[in-house]
Amino acid sequence: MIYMDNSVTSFPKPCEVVKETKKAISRYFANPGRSTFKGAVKVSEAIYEARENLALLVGTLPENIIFTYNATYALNMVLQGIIKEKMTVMTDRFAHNSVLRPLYALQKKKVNVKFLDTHPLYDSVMISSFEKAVEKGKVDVLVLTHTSNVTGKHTPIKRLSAICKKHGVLLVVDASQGLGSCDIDMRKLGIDILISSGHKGLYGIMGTGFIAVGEGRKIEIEPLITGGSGIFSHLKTMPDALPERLEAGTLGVPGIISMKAGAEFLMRVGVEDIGHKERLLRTRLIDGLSGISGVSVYNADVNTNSIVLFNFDRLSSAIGAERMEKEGIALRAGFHCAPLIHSVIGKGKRDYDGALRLSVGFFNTGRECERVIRAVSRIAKEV
Amino acid sequence: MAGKDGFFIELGSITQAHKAQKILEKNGISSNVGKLPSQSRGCSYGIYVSGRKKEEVALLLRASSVKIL
Repeated sequence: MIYMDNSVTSFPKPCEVVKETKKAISRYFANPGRSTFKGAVKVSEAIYEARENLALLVGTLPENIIFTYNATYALNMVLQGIIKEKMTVMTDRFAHNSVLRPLYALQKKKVNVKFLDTHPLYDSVMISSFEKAVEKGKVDVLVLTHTSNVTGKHTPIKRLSAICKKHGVLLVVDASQGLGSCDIDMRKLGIDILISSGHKGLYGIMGTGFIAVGEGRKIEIEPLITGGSGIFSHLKTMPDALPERLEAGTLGVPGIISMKAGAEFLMRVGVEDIGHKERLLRTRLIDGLSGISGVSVYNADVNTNSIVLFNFDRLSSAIGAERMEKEGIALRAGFHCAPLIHSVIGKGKRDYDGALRLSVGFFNTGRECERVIRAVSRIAKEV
Repeated sequence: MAGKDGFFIELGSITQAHKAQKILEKNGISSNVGKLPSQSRGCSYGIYVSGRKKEEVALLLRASSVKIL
């Protein structure tokens, strides 16, 4: 099987991630942050080192890294933890349902939710839309998608962040797609809160994610989940300080260790080199698929690393995916949990039912890309 | 490695305890992570340090933004 579904979850995992995760299951048996015998302290030390690695990767402090079970949990914790009644929140149309659905739920609680105008290619549309919005009235929170999981488009974070700083808007960034192949430094980009899954570009196992709070940011995040924290048991509330305030219950130790090892892999290979390789593979696919009659590529002009979005003109995306699977290629069809950008892409296209998405990873090869191109060409000729 | 004698600096969370331990280690001071129960609030983590003056260690930690309880 040729696996090109890395936007869902990365595969294969680097050797060090597999090795360290296996080690964690067998050797890190104690519950960290609860007991003080040697074994327990050893585990909590490893957890702290995981925080250090992630903090180094994204540009914040270790104690500002909060572990969650995926980016969806992280987004719900942040959005429901900071957004209050009568606040105004804006987001872009690249947003995944893990952003949209919590915001729609908050709309029912009298939160004002607005959308930035979003063009699949041109940053100026989004920037102009945000400038107009902040001039017109107060915006409390801006939730941005770092990299679209549908088109691969990178949002102009730095430029939007500057507008946020000028107008006192809190900036939350969903970096689930971009982390690992793009340099994302919270300090340089002016990001207040960053969220990511651990199992995509970070190469950790599924069931992992984290929240990163910017250094020096005093942001009140009300805990969504409360319970045991290992300290201050007589208090009726969660502890005040991060990360424990937002980490109720037992941590997913093997998952966290997998993220620790994943971050080490990224720092060893280099995020820039990973992004560069993905870009080369993607270019190969784009060039190959764009020349096939009966195939429409939707994001050829997007300057990005790993995603190719296409359709067979005479097949539904679901059937297209089945045919690709018969050719031994794993990809994803449909709307990719990101309905708004698909509405933009599908506008004016009769019978648009989503699209096929190839998402390359660091471990894909040029030869695999050639096989994919040949498979797509065969299918297009047959229909 | 420091034994559980000397003095205890209360830091609250295990995260702060490990942060403090790493800072002290970089400055050539060894410490052990420990936990002390408190009747009013419940357990709290900190570090045991011996062979140094408490004020010296506290100063070093505060300078590195470690919150001492």
